[in-house]
Amino acid sequence: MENANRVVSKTIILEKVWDLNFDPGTTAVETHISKLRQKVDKPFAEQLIHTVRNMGYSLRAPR
Amino acid sequence: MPLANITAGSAFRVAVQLLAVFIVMLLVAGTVLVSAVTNTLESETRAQLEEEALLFEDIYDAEGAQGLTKTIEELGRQSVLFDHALGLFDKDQVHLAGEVSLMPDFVGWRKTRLTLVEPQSDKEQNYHARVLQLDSMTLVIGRSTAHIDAARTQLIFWLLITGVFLSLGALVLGYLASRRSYRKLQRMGQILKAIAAGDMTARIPVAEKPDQIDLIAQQMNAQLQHLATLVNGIQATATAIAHDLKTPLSHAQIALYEAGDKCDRGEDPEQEISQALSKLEQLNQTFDTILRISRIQAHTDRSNFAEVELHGLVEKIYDLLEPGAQDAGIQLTVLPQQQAELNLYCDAGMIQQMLINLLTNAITHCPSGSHVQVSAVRQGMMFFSRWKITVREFPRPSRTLFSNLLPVSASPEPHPATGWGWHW
Repeated sequence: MENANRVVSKTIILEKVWDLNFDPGTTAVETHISKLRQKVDKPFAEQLIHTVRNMGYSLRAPR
Repeated sequence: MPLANITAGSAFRVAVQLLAVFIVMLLVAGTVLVSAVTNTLESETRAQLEEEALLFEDIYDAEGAQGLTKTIEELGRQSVLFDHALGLFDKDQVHLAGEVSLMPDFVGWRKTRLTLVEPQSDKEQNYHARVLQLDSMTLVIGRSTAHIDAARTQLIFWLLITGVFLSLGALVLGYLASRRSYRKLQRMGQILKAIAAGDMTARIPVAEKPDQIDLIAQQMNAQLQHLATLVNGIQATATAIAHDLKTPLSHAQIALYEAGDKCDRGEDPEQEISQALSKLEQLNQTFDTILRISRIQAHTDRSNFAEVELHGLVEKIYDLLEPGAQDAGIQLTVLPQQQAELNLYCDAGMIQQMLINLLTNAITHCPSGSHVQVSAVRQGMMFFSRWKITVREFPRPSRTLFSNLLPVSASPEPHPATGWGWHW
């Protein structure tokens, strides 16, 4: 939640989570986000994880 | 085959040089030998003449002038001493007996010509002459030098014959050796021409019993093999690069065309331009990877090298890709660690990318329901990723993938965490 409401790029996610300093050219991040969404967002009407097209993802608290 | 090319060969030139040295040595040795033989024979002749002189003195002492004259005439008639010439003269140099008709003008030893009463040939012969006084008479004892001259002539003749035959033999051997070398060099040149024309499979023939040229040919063949491998590698790399670049380039091109179309329609092309930029970034990364590989191959850049613990790396990559495998119906697991820490000094990013590619390929190409197990093991001087795939056999990456992991240091037993690297 440290980066709430801030867009976090795929590259930063790879670096912070897996210590990968490059884009491995896979859809691994998207898959993980998808899995995360299923657990965090799917059961609820209000979504926390948002995709910012061509930029990354952001975690926004419900208003 | 031009004769000049053969005689210009090093083997022939060495043979000629050795021949020149041999001829000089033969001349010196021959001169010494002829002189030694001549001196020996002359010494022997003089010793014999000295003995004969003593004998004649004994006869003179015993039998007087008449006895000596009689003995000399008797010896002349019997022709016992055929190469001898004897002469006896009185105090007035009047010829008393023997073949020598004119008394020499000296007393003692000398090599001279003697005038005979009945010369055997027109040619005047040289004699070793011993002239001695017997009271008022003069005795001349001479022995022809013909046998010494004949011996010397024969010796010189055979030395010359030996020299000529040895010289011819050396020249022929040098010529043959030079011709052999020339033929080998000619074949070598033909092969190199073929290689220059593009035939990378051509190799220089090597004889069963290799000489120095064959040893060079072996070295050149090894270098040619290395060169052929490099050329093939470059071709394969060029193909791989073209393959890797084609798709993102096509996507970028399509995106830019679509952006252009949107501009024509008055719509916002931001999405397509972003896509094109993303693909171009992908291309940039591909080139960056190629450059990194080149630098590692050239040993010029190890700035990205660091110690990597392989078990941890496998776990991390597993954690990254496991959800994707799950979606593809693949059961991806990490085998229990069989060995303690496996530290590798390498380009961490490269080896991570390699493991990601391996597992991504396995996830992409294995049929749903497969079970892929992965672990890192060390066997001797190599590190391997061990795969265990059930349901259907997947082409194993096994040795070839990690065979390029070679020790950076010369130490045969590298201790953990040092001495190993990503060495292409």
